Amino acid sequence: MKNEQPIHISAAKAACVTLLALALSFVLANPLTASLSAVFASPERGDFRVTDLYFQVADARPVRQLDDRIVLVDIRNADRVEIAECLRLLSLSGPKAVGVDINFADAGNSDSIISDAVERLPLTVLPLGVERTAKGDFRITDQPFFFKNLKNVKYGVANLPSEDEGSSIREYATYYPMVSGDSLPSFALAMAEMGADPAAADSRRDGKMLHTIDYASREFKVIPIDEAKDNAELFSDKYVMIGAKGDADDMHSTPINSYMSGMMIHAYSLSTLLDRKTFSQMPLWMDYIIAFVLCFGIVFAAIRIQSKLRGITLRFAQMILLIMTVWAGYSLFLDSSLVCNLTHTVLMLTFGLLALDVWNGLEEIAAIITGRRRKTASHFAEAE
Amino acid sequence: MTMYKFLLAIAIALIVRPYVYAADHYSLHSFKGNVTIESKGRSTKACKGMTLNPTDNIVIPNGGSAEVYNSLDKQIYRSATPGRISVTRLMINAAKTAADKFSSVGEKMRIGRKSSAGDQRVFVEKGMVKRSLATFDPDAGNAEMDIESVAMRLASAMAHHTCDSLPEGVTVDIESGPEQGAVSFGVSNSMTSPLYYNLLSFTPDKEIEISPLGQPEGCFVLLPGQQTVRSQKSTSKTLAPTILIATPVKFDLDKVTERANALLSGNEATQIVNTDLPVIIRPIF
Repeated sequence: MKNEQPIHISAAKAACVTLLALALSFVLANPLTASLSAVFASPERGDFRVTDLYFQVADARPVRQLDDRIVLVDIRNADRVEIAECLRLLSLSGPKAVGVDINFADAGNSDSIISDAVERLPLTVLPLGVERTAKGDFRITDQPFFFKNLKNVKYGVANLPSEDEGSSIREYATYYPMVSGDSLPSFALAMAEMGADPAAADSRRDGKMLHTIDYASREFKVIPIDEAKDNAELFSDKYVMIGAKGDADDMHSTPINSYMSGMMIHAYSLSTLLDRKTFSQMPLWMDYIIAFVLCFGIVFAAIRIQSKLRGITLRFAQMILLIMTVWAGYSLFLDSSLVCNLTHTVLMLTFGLLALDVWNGLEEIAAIITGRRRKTASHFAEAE
Repeated sequence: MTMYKFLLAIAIALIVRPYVYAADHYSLHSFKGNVTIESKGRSTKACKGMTLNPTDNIVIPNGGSAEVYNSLDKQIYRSATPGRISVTRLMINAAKTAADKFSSVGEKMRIGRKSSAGDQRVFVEKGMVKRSLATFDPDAGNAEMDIESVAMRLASAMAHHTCDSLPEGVTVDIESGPEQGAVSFGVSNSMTSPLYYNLLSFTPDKEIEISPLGQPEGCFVLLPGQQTVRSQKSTSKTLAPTILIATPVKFDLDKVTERANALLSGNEATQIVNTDLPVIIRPIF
């Protein structure tokens, strides 16, 4: 069909639309970048889950909870002598449990100082490192030099489960089935058990090995080791963790930042465990149904609406539905601890109208091809 | 009458107590920027952990932020809005924003916002590793020379022009001096432990500073069996007297020289101090 619109009018309209597209690109650059990085991600950036978005949004709120059940002691550059002194101080401060997130792997000159200090603090949890065997159970690979020689010491596995090496740490384990047939608790669970918290028993009972760490809006008191003596009263009846907050060798990626110390992750894990916080996952089929219904609605409206306001109406509806989808997922996550993986919903809403354009285009191409065949067939029929 | 006064005192205490009690529950958890606190008509610089009253005003500058800790509900309330705001209002606004899920999502998606960095960059990340001296000197570990003792030795040596003898295993070979228009010397360590040293100058103003021939920061570390040679081709014949200071354990030279200069200027280095301290102070040129 010939376009009867004068060419200068068409050019002006195209220019205005281009300016509008430019304006929209400023407004929507960040949301689009976020969705693109989720879909067309490099292997490193492919590590994205919708819960990461929810945790980031929740953690950015201007109100955070100071979890005063847990106190962290940052050892910085302290040596074994200073750490032993800190443990002696804690033995006078009445903590509920003390987790030493430091592996004293090698024997040194100050061996007896450290082992004596640990032995005199019967509430101590020490870390172990494990590796998975081909059968799926675990064996110990890292242990302190006085492993199993000390009484009243509990051990907890300090490994941080992730989907791949370098991926974000989203979950904590409760227990690790060992090659010997028994199971070892994780560092967080060991501390909760040492503190005789009922949540520890509940955690064991539910039978699940992995639980989502609740990173949102929590903070812990961190005391540098050289200020421990002045703040001794703060340790009374608390879960105290001693470790390095800024050691480059013990930094890990998490949903809320890409550089968090192992000790801090254990603190978040313990806090989540003590709160008995668990997240439920919405079934995947529900995500597909929601995606199908919403996309169907947009596409159906696109086909049926004939008004000149069709385009703008559909685009606004598309944008509003996208924002509402993310808002709904976030609300369910925050209020009901329900994780809705609305990836397909977001993508189908984004590409629904594009899919319609592709469909219409294919229909047109098919019509052209079919039309030519009919013309050719009738031409031959006439010739005969 | 006594009973009346007693009852009056109790009544006053009960009235005042909530205000006193409430005031203890709020504190400044953290802040960023040049934040000030206005309390009872006075303005003071913000200090982490300071107690706040509900009616105190927090003045937040552009780019700054403040966090208030409420020990009653154990929550931390943050505001990054520039301006003056009361403690109570800050907490109310923060709680309201936190409860507003729609704006939280919009804030994260930054709809309509350009990149916050713009042309500004921060240069915090350092592409290098650090190695503790403990790996070179495991026996010394975190040991460090006492600053006061070393400073007193240094000041005394400068005041009395003393010259320590070198211990067995440490040699200083001078090949040329300022008179030859160049300086060249070597320090070698054949002891079984490291040697930490640097070079100082004693200026005409009777001040000690790090010599141009020395290490500008920290000190040289000579591991057992090592030698360093320092040379400089052309130098003024009036090069300030250069002194070698060496110890078996690391020392903070900046603090030592600062303290020594203070002792010298205060004429406190009047006596020769303990020479048993393992510090070598010896003129080179």
